[in-house]
Amino acid sequence: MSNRARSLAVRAFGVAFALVAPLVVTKEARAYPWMIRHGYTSCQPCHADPSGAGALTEYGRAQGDILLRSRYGANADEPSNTSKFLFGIAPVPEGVRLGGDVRAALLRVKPEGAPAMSRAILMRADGYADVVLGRLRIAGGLGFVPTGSFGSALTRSPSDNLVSREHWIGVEIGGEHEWLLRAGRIARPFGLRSIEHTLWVRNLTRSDLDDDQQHGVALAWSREAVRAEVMAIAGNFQLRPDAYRERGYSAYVEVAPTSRLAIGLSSQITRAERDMTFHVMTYRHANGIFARYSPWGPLVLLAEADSVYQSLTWNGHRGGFATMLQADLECVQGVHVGLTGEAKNGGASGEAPSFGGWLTALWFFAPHADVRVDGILQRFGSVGPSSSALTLLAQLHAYL
Amino acid sequence: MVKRLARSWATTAVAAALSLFPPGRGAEASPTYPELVRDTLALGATPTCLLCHDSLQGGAGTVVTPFGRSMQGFGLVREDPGSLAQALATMRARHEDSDGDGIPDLDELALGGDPNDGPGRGAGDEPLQHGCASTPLRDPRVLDASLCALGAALVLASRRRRRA
Repeated sequence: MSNRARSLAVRAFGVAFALVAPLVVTKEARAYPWMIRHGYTSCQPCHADPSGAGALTEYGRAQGDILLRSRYGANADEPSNTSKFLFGIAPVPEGVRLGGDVRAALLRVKPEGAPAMSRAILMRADGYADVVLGRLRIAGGLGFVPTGSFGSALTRSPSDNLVSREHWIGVEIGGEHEWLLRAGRIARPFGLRSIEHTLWVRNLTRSDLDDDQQHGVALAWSREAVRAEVMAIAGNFQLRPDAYRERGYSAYVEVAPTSRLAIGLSSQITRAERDMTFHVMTYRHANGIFARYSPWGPLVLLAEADSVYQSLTWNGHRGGFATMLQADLECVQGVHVGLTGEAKNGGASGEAPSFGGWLTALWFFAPHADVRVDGILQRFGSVGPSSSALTLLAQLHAYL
Repeated sequence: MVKRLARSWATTAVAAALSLFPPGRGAEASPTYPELVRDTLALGATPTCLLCHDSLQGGAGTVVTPFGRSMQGFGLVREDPGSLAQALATMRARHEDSDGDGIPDLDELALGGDPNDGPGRGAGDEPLQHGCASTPLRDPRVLDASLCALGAALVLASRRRRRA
């Protein structure tokens, strides 16, 4: 095969993959608030989404290659070609950001007083794109999940669904494009945006990156020392009937007085004619504070505390809370050890608080790949007797 | 040379990951509680996690619905299918009506209703449903095959580049 023919074949494959991937696979799952250890207080330089997560910019890919993964003694001043989309095999036109994300896990749970259970889970298989046309932005993702993520499902099967977690169109405003006005399905701007979607601060405030995104209009503003976003929530139009859709607002503002410290406030109020959980008209109020702090290069502390108040029309009120404190220690570049403590109370009458602890090891062992192991011990408070469970979770994550 | 090897290795790793963990593999894992409820009660559709939990992901510590709490009261614990069968049998024997609407929970499930909807909800109210498309994705094996082929193509493309 001649060089020209080979080059054409590789390019054709790249284009074909770019077209096919979004049809078969969904959304990026990287959101590492501990990147503040490198002085990154805002998310916009590296992520297409100004509040974090989503497709990576070219700069974000480069920083991921230089700062995130183990380098094994190699020169880390310049990013390697493998940092690019599809390891640089398929050139991507300027203004187009493509990505893909596969995360598989082995889960073992040992509840108190019951046998342990193990299972394999495909947590995520996503493809996504972000296209920049001058000031116009068009972004979206498409993927597949064998189970769960019903809130982002496009198809109606009880399992094996196509999902689209985000899809939006927006326009960048301002001399430095510091504003982004967008409409579509967008992650709720609230609290710390992290990949641990089962943390209670994410569950209780319904703000995870798995399937809690909502349709609506959002305005984001991002500068070095301040970032903020407010979203008018029109509801999740991938759920029906309409009575279950939450409507209201969600917002946060974060201020970074130094390059190693950021403190933010979050707030959301939504109303649903029929709440998904309680099946009655419900007003949900969530308000909280969060912070990121790196007192020493290798160490980052993340904290969040949220109050959640639910007014269940004609069925009483619930005032609860969720909180977490996480320490991330990067022992050597690419190798992290994490310790997380969390607590919550759903607010039911007589409900005891729940407590949890996570011990995490994370290794970005190669370009576009990492492994992660979590040991999670949780004590679940309830109206009745409390119970506990020990969970072991091993994940292999690769992205294109 | 080192870059080529690194690129080849990385491409192969992704291809292997795609081949080893095609999307459909998750469906071969142990049946979940919703599937067991469907099979045990011979329901026409699999209930969502919202039957018992406060979120579509389910998870420990999130059982809040009347039906879910009844099941826990009858011995249901996490990740123990035996306790699920026992709890369902007890509910059937007791004609348990968790939401107090006059229809036993299991009869309500069999009729396609919601055992958590309570007496205040009209019979014509629709249950929560997900998705936009008119039909479900029928055969995930097609997806598996596509991803495996994609992985193989990545490996081949990488090898051809290396030879060049």
